Amino acid sequence: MYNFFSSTKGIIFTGLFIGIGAFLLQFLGNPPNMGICVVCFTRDTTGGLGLHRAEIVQYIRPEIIGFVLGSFAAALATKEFRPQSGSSPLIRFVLGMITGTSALVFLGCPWRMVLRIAGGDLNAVVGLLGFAFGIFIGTRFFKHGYTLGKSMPISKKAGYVFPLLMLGLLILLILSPEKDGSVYNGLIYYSQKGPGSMHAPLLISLGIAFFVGIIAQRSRFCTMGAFRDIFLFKEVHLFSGLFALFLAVLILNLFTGKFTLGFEGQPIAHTDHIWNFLSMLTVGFAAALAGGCPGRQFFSSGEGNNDSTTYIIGLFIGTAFAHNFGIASSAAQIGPHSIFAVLFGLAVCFVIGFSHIKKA
Amino acid sequence: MENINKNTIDTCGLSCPQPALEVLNFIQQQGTDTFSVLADSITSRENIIRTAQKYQYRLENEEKQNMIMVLHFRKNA
Repeated sequence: MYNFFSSTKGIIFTGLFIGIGAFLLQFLGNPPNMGICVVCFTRDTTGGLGLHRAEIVQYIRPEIIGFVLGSFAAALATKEFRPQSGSSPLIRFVLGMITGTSALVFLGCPWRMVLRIAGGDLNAVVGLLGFAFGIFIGTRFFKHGYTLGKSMPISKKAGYVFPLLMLGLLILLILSPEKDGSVYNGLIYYSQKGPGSMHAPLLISLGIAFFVGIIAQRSRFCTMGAFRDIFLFKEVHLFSGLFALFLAVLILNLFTGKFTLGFEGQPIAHTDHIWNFLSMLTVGFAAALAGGCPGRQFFSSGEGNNDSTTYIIGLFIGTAFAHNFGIASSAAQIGPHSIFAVLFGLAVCFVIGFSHIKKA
Repeated sequence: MENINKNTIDTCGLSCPQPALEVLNFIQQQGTDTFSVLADSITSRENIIRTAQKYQYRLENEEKQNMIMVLHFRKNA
């Protein structure tokens, strides 16, 4: 079956769609320069479930549910649903945790990093430099034989688990709405102020994310891969999709007056250049070692890849820990334990890298 | 499986970017006129073909048995 989305035109279309979708979601209520942020939305969801108690970031985000369900639907329809597992799952869990904690020091995943740049946030350009350098470091390990080992096919039933869990989360969200403006409705949490209180209507968020899940699965869209493939293969296919995303949002921001160039006063962003750089370096490195950016891991889990699911579970835990243990930054500054978390995560990435080089 | 070239790279079970990287390493280290690749996912197949084409190999033939794809490549003239 011909797959348009895996062509160059297809991935550019995917990038444009994601960019427009992210802009729309922001326009309809998602936080500024955060129409889509995989890590932030994972963090918000952990808050909604009560896994952390930072009151300003608690809301079960339909977007991450939509990503998985859309990818799942696409994989099933095109016979690409291929449950597999066994490629060092706990290592991937740790890499997910490192991604979650470090990204929240920067205040965004790679997707949000691009959205911030397209909004004029120069702090995110610093993050981008770190992200690219971290990926470059990761590619050196691949060049020297780094591998997390082979995965094996598993039963289709095992592959259905994560999509079903996300469906369950959606049902919980629908059946347990906000009550009387209170933070806790007796079951789950809803922020009443801050980024967690800013969200587009549920069905629109879900719908846009569902289609993003479909086309991202078909196109293999990956923000980390965009840079990795340039470093490893001198290949710009994935990068063309990422650039299309950036361009779409940049043009829409310029057209609507939402572009503000500078370092200071950017929404949900701090100006600590060293830790913007180093935190995203750690995110890039961890994502490279794990074989995909956080977004790609969600789409891959929808395809039945349980190793990606294990990474995502690590992401959930990492983002919750980031708030419980004072790792996450605020717009004013980095957290009290941000430095330790980033440096420790970076060290662990090096240990994982060196210890998984397969001798020839 | 028939017609498997002796220069065969098994990428089954490997996750991105390893399948394409294994092919690249083979091309750069051995660079034979023909080689074959075993792949078990469409994503791997796409990446492998893209990499091979970039280094002047074309997909000459393709077989499938169960979930395994066997891709046969030949160097462009």
